[in-house]
Amino acid sequence: MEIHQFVKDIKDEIGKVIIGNENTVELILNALINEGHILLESVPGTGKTTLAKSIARTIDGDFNRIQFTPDVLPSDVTGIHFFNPKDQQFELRVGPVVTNVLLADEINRATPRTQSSLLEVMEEKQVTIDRETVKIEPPFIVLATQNPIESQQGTFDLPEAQLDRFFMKLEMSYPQAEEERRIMQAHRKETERPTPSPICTKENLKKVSEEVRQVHISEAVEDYILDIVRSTREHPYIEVGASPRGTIALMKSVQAEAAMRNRSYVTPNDVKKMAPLVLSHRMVLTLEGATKHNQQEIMGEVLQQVNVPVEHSIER
Amino acid sequence: MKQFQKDRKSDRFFYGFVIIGSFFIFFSFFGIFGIYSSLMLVGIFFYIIYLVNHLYEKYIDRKLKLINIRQLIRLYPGETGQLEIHLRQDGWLPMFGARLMMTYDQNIQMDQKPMYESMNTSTVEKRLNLFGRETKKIYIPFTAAKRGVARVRSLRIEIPSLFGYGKITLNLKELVKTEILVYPEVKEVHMNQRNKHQKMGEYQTNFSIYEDPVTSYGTRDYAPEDPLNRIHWKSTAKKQVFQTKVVERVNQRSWLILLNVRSEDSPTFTEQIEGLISSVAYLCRHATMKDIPYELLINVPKRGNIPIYHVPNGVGRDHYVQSLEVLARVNTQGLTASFDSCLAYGKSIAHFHPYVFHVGVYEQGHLSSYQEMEKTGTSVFVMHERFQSVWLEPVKSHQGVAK
Repeated sequence: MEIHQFVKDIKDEIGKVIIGNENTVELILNALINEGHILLESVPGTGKTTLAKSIARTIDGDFNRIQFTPDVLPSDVTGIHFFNPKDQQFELRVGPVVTNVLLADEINRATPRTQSSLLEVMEEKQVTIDRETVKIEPPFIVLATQNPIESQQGTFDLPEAQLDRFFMKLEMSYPQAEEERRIMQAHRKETERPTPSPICTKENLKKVSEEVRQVHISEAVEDYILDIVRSTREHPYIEVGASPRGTIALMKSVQAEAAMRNRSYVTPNDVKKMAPLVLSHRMVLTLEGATKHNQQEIMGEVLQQVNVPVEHSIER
Repeated sequence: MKQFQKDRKSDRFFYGFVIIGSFFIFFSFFGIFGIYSSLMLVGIFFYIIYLVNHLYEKYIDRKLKLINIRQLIRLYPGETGQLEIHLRQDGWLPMFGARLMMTYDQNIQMDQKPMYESMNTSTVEKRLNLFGRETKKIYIPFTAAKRGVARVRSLRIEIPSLFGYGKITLNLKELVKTEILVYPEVKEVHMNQRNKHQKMGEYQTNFSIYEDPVTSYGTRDYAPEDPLNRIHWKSTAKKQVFQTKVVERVNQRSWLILLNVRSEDSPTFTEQIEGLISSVAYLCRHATMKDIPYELLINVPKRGNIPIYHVPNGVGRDHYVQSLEVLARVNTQGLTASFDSCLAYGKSIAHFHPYVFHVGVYEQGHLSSYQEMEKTGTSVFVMHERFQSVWLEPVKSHQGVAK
């Protein structure tokens, strides 16, 4: 299967509904191919929910949404055993996590206890409710959102263990002026909003994921990935560097990036592009570091410090 | 819209060229010297020189752009950084031997010696050569000297005329968006006398005498004296034994820091302002490291619902960064607000905070407000300084020191 064509088709279909933010859509597809979860940071009203719904529709999958508030309980997320008076028995009612695309809206409004209820499902694609384990059919992707301008009160920062489970952290920006004009025009013309049609099946997606795993990574690029990850653990402004899970995520993301560009091999440029998106949110900065730089800036410094592998000419 | 305002100072030399050129062309027609074509050519040449220079002066800035992106550089005093000026010439006209002159606030010091200095600003100069269709980044290294906000106040480019006579001055019309924030130094405050007591609140904790009935996270077997409204009926039905809801234990452990920037008898900033700000920075840092939420009030006026500098209650690194930014932005050349307004707002929110810290000049008049706060179960501490050492002591024991 031509992966770049597959991605282009999905992008075009989503483009019918989401105007602009093509890069974000592409990166979400990268995560989807790798069955990774996305933390979307964006201001309200940029189309996060529509995007998540569109993705679910294009892959012909189920879509569920949880609006997190401080009083959402873990059982509201995972599910409960409820007492059925008719049968006089307890029945299992699974929570909204049992789906293909889960939109965890404003995740940082939930208490840490509720946020933690997503840990198992994000990593193991299963949920345990009162000793009963429910497997979730692939693909499964969590699109969590948080508002960057949110005040401190009433929000709870995501714990590091949870952040590490997110494949990428993306920032969804405002559309360009021309794109915003097109959005206005689209809303004027259409009485009914278009909905994307299913472009692929879940089986197709699985096949694409398997093909992406075949993308070649040379030893030099492997060393480059390792150097970057190890540098995040040694930087003076970083308290906790990227985890081995981060290393694997970076490797998978660059494979998908290469495949989406119709290449069967990974280049250092792919690594350079994906590293800030995959590793930044996994790093915990020192107090001094946090007062002067954000994670992206430090990641930029790390990338500048690490030597990029280049092809040497053969000396005769 | 053009980013630069142009000021042309053409030398009389070029007008001389035009006059001489006109003279030659005029006489070439009447043949006084007999060499018609040569005179004509020289005249035309002079005209061309004038015209080329005129066009150069007219169009040199037409497609010149300063890439002016909002950028915030954060530093502690003594640290170094570099300012980036990003120029792009989209037109074909080059500029050689131009001078870039930049005036900036003096709480940063450029590595290069300034051309001239005024009371609060300095000006440095850099040589600039820019070809047509070229982008250039000019880096100007600097050292953060003292707390405050430094901005580039003006930016000017002086371009010599094409043949060296006269110059074109381009003044940037907009503000350079780069801002350099020099954080305050951190000065230790001894806090060994802090009492440990609890107030009802909303922060989840492992040990507290207070509970939040809404945040139930599990059940346990019913025990005598458990209230009836805590029984979990579904769980009881499932287990066939009475079950009680287990809820989160909560308390309030936040600080309220009040900084009085005024001197004793006048509305001006106290001379010890930098030391006080450094002490507040330490308190904020300490609270962040101990995961304690805090709120900060400074009697410096601003517009808004709360008419003084205010950092709302919060916790964590981002909150610390926000506090440091506010402390860095306290401008000692500006106005102060009455500390009474600070106290009045502080009193209205003090019941949320078990601890209140007063930093700055303490007067007897403040005592009644602090006593009112203490009635709600809040402990008030006043910062005290003697022999280069700073510590906090309860407001009661501080009464004798107050003037």
